[in-house]
Amino acid sequence: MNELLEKEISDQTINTMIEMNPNIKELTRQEIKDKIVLLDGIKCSINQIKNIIFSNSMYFNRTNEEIINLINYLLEKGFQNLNILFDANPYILNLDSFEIDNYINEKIKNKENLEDIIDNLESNPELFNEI
Amino acid sequence: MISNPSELESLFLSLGYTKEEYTKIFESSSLKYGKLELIKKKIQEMYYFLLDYYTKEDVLRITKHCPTIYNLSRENIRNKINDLISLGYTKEDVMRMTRALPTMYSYSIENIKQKIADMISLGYTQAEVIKMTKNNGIIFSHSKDSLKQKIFDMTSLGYTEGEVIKMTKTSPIIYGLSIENIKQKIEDLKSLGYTQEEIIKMTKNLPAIYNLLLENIKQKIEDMMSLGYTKEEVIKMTKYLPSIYSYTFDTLRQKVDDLLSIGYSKDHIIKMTRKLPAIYSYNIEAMNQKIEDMISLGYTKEEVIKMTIIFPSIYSLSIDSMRNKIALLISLGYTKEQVIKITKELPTIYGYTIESIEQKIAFFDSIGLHELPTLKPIFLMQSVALSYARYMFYKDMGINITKDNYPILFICNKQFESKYHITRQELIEKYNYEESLYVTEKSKNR
Repeated sequence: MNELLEKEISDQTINTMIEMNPNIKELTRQEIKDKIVLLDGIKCSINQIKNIIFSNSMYFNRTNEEIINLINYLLEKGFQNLNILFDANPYILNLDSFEIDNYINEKIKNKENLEDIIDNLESNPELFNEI
Repeated sequence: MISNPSELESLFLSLGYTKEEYTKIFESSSLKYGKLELIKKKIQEMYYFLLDYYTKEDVLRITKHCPTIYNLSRENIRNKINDLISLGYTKEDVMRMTRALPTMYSYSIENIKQKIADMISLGYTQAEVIKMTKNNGIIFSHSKDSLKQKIFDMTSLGYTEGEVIKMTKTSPIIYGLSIENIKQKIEDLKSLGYTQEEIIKMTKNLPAIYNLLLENIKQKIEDMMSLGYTKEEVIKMTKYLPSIYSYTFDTLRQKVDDLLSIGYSKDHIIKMTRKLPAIYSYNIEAMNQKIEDMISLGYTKEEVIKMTIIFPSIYSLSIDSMRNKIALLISLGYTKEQVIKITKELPTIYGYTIESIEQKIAFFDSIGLHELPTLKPIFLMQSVALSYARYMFYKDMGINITKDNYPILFICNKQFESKYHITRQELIEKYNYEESLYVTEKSKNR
């Protein structure tokens, strides 16, 4: 974990992160660590954590409770390997369960079954961008 | 005691005070002592002197709040104003401060200097104290201990001391709110659907929320809902952009109209602002400029509209960041036209890190599929850990991945599992990408 925090990130990446979320300049070391621990908890590798947090600096705007709720919701719905899912589309972490639920319910209304919807979302993580 | 107070009362009534106000001023100042003629002269001189600085209504209000002003000399008032100006306030600041806190005229300059020093000792700079107090002179009515107590009370709610100092710099009015009042506001916000952690976070960004009435907040939620959001969406959006609560409904409606004029549909506006509420804080000229800049990069306006619907964060990126990302992709072996195609179909690539793009492309290069991102940019999204595991799995089965069959690397999980009877978890454990990188790195170092 510490290694990750100490890891050099390119200036360009830092600039992009700040442009996307200027609030990250105010983050404490502890706040960064807390967010990393959550990703570590779903078995994200160092590379995946780097990819997720550096590509989606808005992730740091989420409260820990929001992230935990989202993770629990996805697991309950049957999503597996959340590390692979978030690595593929780090912006999923900006969603709330009610938003994914609304999307799933719309699909169910159109006679799709839950298992297929989840499989489709897992296999095509870009679909989360439609939410 | 003066012999004929009724004459004095007549004077006060002629200046605009009520009988009750006169009685209050008379009782709480030293006007009852001395010669009537001299007292009347002093009152008239001070009253007209103050009219040089304030309106009649202000003079009446200030003297009602601080009747002892009538005991002071004009010289005294003039010196007080000059002393305050020497501390860093403008004449307008002094007028504003004394209108809000007339008793400032009864403070000695040493007393005010001490109050400034007290605030500096709490963590503010002199310039910050001047800035905070010029619009909220009332802060000077608090003792150092009461300010310290307020900071302590706020830390018990979940803020750090540094955060309280920062919040009070932009919203010094917090010092005027009781802790019970603040706790009640937190309860009110919880009743709307926010958690304590979220409220602390929101108010750190916009401390002025503590000044808003619950009714006004509820009305703003209703206003947002009338624009097309659900209540849950409004609550989520305001967590990230609490300043929505400080915008008027007309401002919000105007922003929607501006976005419609750019070419977004109402549904797209709702979708984009849900993802990036900060759009409500962007000015329309800057957004139009971003579109122009992107057109100069090689996109059409329609393409920019489409890309920003998928990834509205593009509006928060500088054009230099986008140019750098294009340059990076070109340096990885793609033509400008190919890069435009890739980014058009996968606009989120503008948010990806250089390291992640390099890693994914290096993997596709290593298996001879350099062209893949141009054929189907969306495949760049798949986690490299999964792409690697599937590639190795196929390789072990004797299936070579080429330009003709590469889509099998990206088939649905359910389809993959039922065909090959291996779960994704088993697959990524068996063919561990991180370990392969480690092995490659190790062999390079030998």
